[in-house]
Amino acid sequence: MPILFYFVTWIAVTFTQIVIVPRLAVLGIFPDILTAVVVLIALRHGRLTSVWLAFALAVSVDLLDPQKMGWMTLLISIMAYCVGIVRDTIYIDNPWFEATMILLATFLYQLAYRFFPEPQFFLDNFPKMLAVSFFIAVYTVAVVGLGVWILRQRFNFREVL
Amino acid sequence: MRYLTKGIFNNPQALPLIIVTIISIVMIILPLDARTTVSRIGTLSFLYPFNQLDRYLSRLDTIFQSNRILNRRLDSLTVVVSRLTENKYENERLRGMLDFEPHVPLRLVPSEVISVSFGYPFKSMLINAGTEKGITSNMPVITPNGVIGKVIAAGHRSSTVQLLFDPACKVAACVQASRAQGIITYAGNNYLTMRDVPIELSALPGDSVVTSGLGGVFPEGLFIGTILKSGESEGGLFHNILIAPGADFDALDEVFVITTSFSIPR
Repeated sequence: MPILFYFVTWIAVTFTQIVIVPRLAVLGIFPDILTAVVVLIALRHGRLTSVWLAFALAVSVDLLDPQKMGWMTLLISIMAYCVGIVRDTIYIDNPWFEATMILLATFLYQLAYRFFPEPQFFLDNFPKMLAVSFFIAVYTVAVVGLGVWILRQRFNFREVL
Repeated sequence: MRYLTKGIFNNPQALPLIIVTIISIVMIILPLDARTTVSRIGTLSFLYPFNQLDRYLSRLDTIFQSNRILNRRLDSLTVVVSRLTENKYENERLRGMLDFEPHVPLRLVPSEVISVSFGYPFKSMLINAGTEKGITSNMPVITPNGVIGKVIAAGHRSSTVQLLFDPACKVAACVQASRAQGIITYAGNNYLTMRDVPIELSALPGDSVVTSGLGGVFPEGLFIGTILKSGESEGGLFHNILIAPGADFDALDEVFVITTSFSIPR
């Protein structure tokens, strides 16, 4: 079951990230579905599952950009681990808590992903980077919230997501 | 530090993170060439189906958009065609009443360009159609965008075409709107010029220039280009007209030879 679960999630998220996400761009801002899924998995299934899944997902998307290869994998995996710790300590089973976690995690991840590969460029354009990261986080929460709500309503996916 | 290390290695849940971190750092510190190679291998192997699907959807999107544009254009062209058909019948009726000869429909022989030569002394091109397809010297050669020249030598399976950009090539033409007549020659820098157009006749920038049919080679009404600039010549008697050719001489690929013989001047 876990292998099948990993595989199906990998296929679905990689498909979404490569094929669907570029078509959801609004003013050049894309939702970060990958981070959101990793956060949801970490909140539902804990550190171990989420770190492996984050690794598999991030490596797939990382391969598309040789310039920044490795950064996404590293940051997403750390983020998955940290969200796993949150789940073990202060988790509240509430959609608003999950939405807040996605918002926070996406925002912090976007900032880190922009800062670490090119710190000087990030600091030179700090307000813009801050705004872009924030809008990506908000957009992600909106898109994922809608998606999860539809999945839970129509297909009873509550056990997984 | 020892406590931290011991804590991490003793915690089974931290092990995946350590492994993943090491792999990520290796990926980050790889030289760019190696990263590009890894990226290429990954993209061409297990990401290949996703990329193909993405490309397929993009193509589908482009097809939908162009289909919508073409449908819109088809709608407007249907109206234009119906109006032109009406005009054609009216024209034929009026020509019959005036005892004019009817227009001969043009017969086009499609041909592919083998080579284009912009050298001295001729600016010419070689096409893969010759006398076996009924092509002879002095037959006009066109593209859907306009006239490009005439056949100057026809072999059995290939012909040499003299381009409008050849200084020796001259075409009798007229401004479509005002019917002001002149001679088209090459002006240099991929432009044409129209000579001998009297100053009192109108030739405005944006007007279309078509063949007049008076030279005996080109039939009447073939599009040549659009007037870019129009001014007075030195003596003040004629227009000095610069024309942008309709055909793209840098991208000649397929052309049509008009093989219909027509009697000109009427």
